[in-house]
Amino acid sequence: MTEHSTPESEDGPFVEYCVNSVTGAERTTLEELPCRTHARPCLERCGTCRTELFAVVDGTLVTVPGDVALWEAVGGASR
Amino acid sequence: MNVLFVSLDSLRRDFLGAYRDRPRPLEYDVATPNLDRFAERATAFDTHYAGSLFCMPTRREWLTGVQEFPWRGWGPIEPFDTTLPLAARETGTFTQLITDHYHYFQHGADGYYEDFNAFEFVRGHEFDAWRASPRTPDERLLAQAGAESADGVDFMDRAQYARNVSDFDESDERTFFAPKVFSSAVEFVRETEWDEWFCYVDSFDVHQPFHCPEPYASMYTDEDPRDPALSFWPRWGTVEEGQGDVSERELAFARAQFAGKVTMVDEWVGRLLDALDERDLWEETAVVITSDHGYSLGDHGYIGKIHQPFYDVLARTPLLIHHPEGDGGRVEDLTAAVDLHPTLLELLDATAAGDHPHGRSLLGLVTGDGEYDREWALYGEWGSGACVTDGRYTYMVPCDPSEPAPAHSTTMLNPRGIFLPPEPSPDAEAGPFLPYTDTPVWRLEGEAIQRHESPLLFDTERDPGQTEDIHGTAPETAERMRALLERALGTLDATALADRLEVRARAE
Repeated sequence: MTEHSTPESEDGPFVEYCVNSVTGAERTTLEELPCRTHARPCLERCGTCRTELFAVVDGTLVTVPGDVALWEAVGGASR
Repeated sequence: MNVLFVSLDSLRRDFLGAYRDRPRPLEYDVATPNLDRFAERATAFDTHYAGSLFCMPTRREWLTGVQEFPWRGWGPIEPFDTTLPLAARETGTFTQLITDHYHYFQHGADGYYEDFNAFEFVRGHEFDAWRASPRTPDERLLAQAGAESADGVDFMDRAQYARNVSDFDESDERTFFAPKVFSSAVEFVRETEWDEWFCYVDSFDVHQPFHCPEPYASMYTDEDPRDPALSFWPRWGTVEEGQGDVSERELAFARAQFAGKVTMVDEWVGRLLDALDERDLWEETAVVITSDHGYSLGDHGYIGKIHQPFYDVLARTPLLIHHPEGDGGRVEDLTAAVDLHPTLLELLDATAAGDHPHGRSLLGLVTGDGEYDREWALYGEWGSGACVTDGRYTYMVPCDPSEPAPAHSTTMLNPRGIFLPPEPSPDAEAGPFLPYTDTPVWRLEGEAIQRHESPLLFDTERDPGQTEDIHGTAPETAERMRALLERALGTLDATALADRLEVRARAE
């Protein structure tokens, strides 16, 4: 699976997102964060995927009501 | 002739004694005496490849003969498809399905069981929406299943599995899924009064979760198989990082439970073979045993099946065919999953009723009196590149993830979110977009997935573990395989996919 990372993200969190959940501008924003992002076809959280924006950050499910909160949560996990 | 078709989901072929003495990731042997004795009676195919991955796309290839992934992903049987049971029953053959494959009954999968005269559905595997009680399942089961909530009501909630198996007896294998499925198949074989029949036994095992009863749970490990710290259901991903991250101990346990499940399935396949012995049916019954795909247990750094390139551990599958007039032995010819549809039609004497645009019958390879010629096998998953093999080299081309992938169906399916309720696509186009039917279909869009950034090339004869990508060091072979992929996609009239992957323009 392709890893998308920025130069300063080598030590950043390992973020997996489902392409059914994180799309378009949200994905662009996520991939610009200092983390290693991986697009996945499915993360086996289909119920969550249907109702909330989510990502798996260093193996932990992170669900939030909107993209801003998600990026904050991702940033929080990296600290 | 009767036809018994058995599919064992997720069965890696290297776990079968008929294919390899010791499974590639293990340091111990795994017992499969019954499948091995069947292999001695059958023709064993050494170079058999999956087509459209994963579970339901493979079943559409088997049941309808349509190579699906260039145009569509997980979805229903289409109105222009002719299924095996429909073709068979039109010739007077009784058709029976026995399965615990609950995907047949989920969103996005219509038409797979309806054409059978009779079907038996064993409930409760994986996420099957079956039991309502107990509301809060046993904590140990929840832990070993990796459930993130105890009583949620979302789709695909692991707590549902713990609920489903709450009254299973882990010391009595008869309460588990494969034993129930094969017991039902034994009952059919012993009791059927039909003169000619087609029985499809579609076992969800050895699919995840790798929850085993005794003696299989302890057969390949010294761990306590009921230790809540050890999951029988690891999450898909990379084994060293992310949600797939597992310790060596956890990975060893998962491998042992997978191995135990293989041996359990083998035991119950054996009972079905015994039933054929008891009724002396081998001279009037063709038996086909195969799998849809494999499963990585740390191979290439992954666990699971859907996040990685389509290495042979996933795509090169077992195929064993017994025919009363067969010679047995081994076949090295390159064969493909989509070939099973015309093969089964020919066995059922139903070629006039069927339609098989993309496969070719393997019967001549089994009986030794027919022609078969396959230059390439095409495989992959919709929206995720394409792969081709000539039987020795495997060549994989990624897609551009920034370009949405088109999905075509008469239904407004979800190209992604396949298990979820369908969503309307008010801007979708409709038209006769498929090369193998005049029927108009919706053209929908879904996100594309890139499993690897650049083409991969492996020489599976010299490097069967596919450890060395030779794409950059064998340019002549790379160009030959690119041309083969172009030719394969051209033969299927899958020109849109060839263009999307830039197969025709790619200069290696």
